[in-house]
Amino acid sequence: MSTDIKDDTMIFVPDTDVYEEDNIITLVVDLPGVDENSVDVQLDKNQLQISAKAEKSQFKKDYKIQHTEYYTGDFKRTWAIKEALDPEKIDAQIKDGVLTLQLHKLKKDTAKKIEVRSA
Amino acid sequence: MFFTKDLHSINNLQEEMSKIFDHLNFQFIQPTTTRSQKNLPVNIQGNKEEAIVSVEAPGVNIDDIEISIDKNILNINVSRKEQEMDSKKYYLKERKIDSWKRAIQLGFDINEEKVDANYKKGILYIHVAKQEQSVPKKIIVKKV
Repeated sequence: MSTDIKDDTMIFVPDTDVYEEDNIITLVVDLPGVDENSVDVQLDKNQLQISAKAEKSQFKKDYKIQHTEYYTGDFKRTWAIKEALDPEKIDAQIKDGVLTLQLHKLKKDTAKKIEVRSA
Repeated sequence: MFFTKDLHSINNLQEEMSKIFDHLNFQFIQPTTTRSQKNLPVNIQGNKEEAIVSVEAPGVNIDDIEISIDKNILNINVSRKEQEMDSKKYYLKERKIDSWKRAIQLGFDINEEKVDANYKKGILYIHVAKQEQSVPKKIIVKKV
């Protein structure tokens, strides 16, 4: 009997913390059961998409499901970003099922000051 | 199943809606629901000899996981600790920082010597073996 408790139609929205510190926006995303190979982060203009596949656990063949409180599915969440971000400087790392994504803000072009001379 | 079709159309509707929002280029696409953490969700699977209790607990230090056994009850204590928040400007805080406690009553006495726990990718797996006392004993009848 299969011990698969994955429902292919399930897509979860992961719990996320978003904070800013020293011009770096950090997203902390809970992705239980996900490893580094199955996370996909894409930044397209002002849209940031995080998608991930949680791997179902492999158990012995004669195991039966006895109790279920959580399901294994995929994660997906899309964010629209107001600020200009540096697409070259995105740092993503995953540890213990938690993805930390650091996005660097582009420094605003300092407005050119024009000195007015007296004629 | 008769209502599967309806559920699918709800999914489609959601997809259509998010397409519209994408098209309108909304400032943020906020989901209606998140997978907010319940009190340590637990899955149990097993066979005649043992069971595996899997607990979804992402971002936990293994030092903050406590497991104890009392006959047929498996006690799990997990706490997720706060990061420093001083200089950070939070826009959103959905991840719960808390400590959770579960006492799971299993349908058998646990063999305390055969308990094995490991933490992988944010999920805690506890392997528990059944006590061998339930093996039936054979009684030989003597001739007097």
